[in-house]
Amino acid sequence: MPAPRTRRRTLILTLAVVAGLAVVFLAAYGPLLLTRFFNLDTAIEARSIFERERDWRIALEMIAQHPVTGVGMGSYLAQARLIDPYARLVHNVPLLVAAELGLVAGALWLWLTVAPFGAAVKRGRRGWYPLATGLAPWVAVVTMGLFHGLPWINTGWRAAILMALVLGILVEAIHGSAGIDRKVGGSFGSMQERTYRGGTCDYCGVRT
Amino acid sequence: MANSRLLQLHTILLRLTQISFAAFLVLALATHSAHWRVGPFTWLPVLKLPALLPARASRWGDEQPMELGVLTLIPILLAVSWPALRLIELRLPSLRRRWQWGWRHITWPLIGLTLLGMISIAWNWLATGTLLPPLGISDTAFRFCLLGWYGRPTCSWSTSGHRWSGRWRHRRRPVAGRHRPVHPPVRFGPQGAGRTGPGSDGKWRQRVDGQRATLAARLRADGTSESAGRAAGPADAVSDQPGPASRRLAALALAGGHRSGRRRADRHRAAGCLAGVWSGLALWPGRCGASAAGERQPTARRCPLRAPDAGR
Repeated sequence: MPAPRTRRRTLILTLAVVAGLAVVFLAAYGPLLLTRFFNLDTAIEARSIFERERDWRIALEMIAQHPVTGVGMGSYLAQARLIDPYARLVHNVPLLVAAELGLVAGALWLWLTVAPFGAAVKRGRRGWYPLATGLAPWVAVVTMGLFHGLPWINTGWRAAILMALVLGILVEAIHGSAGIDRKVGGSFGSMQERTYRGGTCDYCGVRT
Repeated sequence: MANSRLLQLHTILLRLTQISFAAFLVLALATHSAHWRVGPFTWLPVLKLPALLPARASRWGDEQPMELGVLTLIPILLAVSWPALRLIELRLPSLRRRWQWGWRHITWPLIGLTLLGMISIAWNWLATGTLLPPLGISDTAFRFCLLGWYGRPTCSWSTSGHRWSGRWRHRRRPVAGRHRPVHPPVRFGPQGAGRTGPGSDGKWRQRVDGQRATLAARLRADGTSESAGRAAGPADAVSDQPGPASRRLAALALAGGHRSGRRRADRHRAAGCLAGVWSGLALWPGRCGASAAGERQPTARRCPLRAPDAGR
């Protein structure tokens, strides 16, 4: 772990970069962004909210009808349109997963969602710093999944790649922060010897 | 084939696989979602398929045929090269790796979701009664395979440092003879170099060499020459496990021979074949799940039905 002074400098630099990007983004897309939070009575925003709320209700109804098995993977839309012909794919991943595969799958998805945060909490204050690189995109993906169906794997194969990359970063960060091995030189996949620092991984129980 | 030639082949194949996957990843993330109709995956077409859903083609813009270009074949290369790499590694003692599950809080939910998804798709397919293959499985399996592949990068691919999380296996098989898992503080390393801990102790080395020799002699007497050869190999493993000497010797045999039993190798090969079949299924072109009659199957989900969401 870097020294506190280095950490502070890195944090300030990161915040400055993020703030700069935010300013540029707001300058370019400010009006479009503001409509999402303030001008909610515009036609397009009202329609967006109406459709989301309608689809959430439909998804909840489908979960109530098929709590164990769900309606079947990939069958959400076909089933939803039996309830409402104008239904669309629900823009909420936990609801979509639970509606398609049942409540057990919904619980598994929530487990997957919460686990990295649990790992960070378990590590305590010192755990957040090394996990930040993985948690930041994970927060973005999870947040996006509450308002869009994209992060669910069944909606697109590139979503799967994105999820895989983010999860990979997270797992690497989690084990790295737990004092697990570091590769000595070489690139990913090369057969290099690893150094042992001793101890047991707090998360997977792997002894080193 | 000599080990050096095999090692060379492994290195080349590894680099080729890595470059292919990187290229596929970049192209996949940078290409339009209708990748079989526009973009680099349609360049230099090797296969042309008709529109998937003629009944809906005019409405959803699916009237264009699918054009599968040369770059679409990258996943085939990956599907072949990953199991091939694994098989080569099994033949090279210096590269052998144990299969290890990753972080349980990611692995278990993914396994559960994979199983539920596959069961759901297969059930729908059976209920439909169609003779077409369950196309949805290919996509889903491929995606979850991707997740599985990346979900265990650190703890899983421990390369020559054979670490083993022996907890749950110990609970199930506390004393399992030659299949008893060997885990640190048994220490490994290529030719014993660069090790730390008890393994660097000279007395330990002598003791282990002696144990290895004894075990090799015992195995030779049993007629298991392959295991004996491994056991008599360089003392690259040191154990401070408590317990009877026979158990420790068995542990050493496993360490030297990397689970010298065939069952383990067979399992590896089976897993490789399964991954290859799954990946092959993923290449099945009918990604929209259209039947021969042009009607949707229950598992169909992507092209026609996602279109209304565009721009929402």
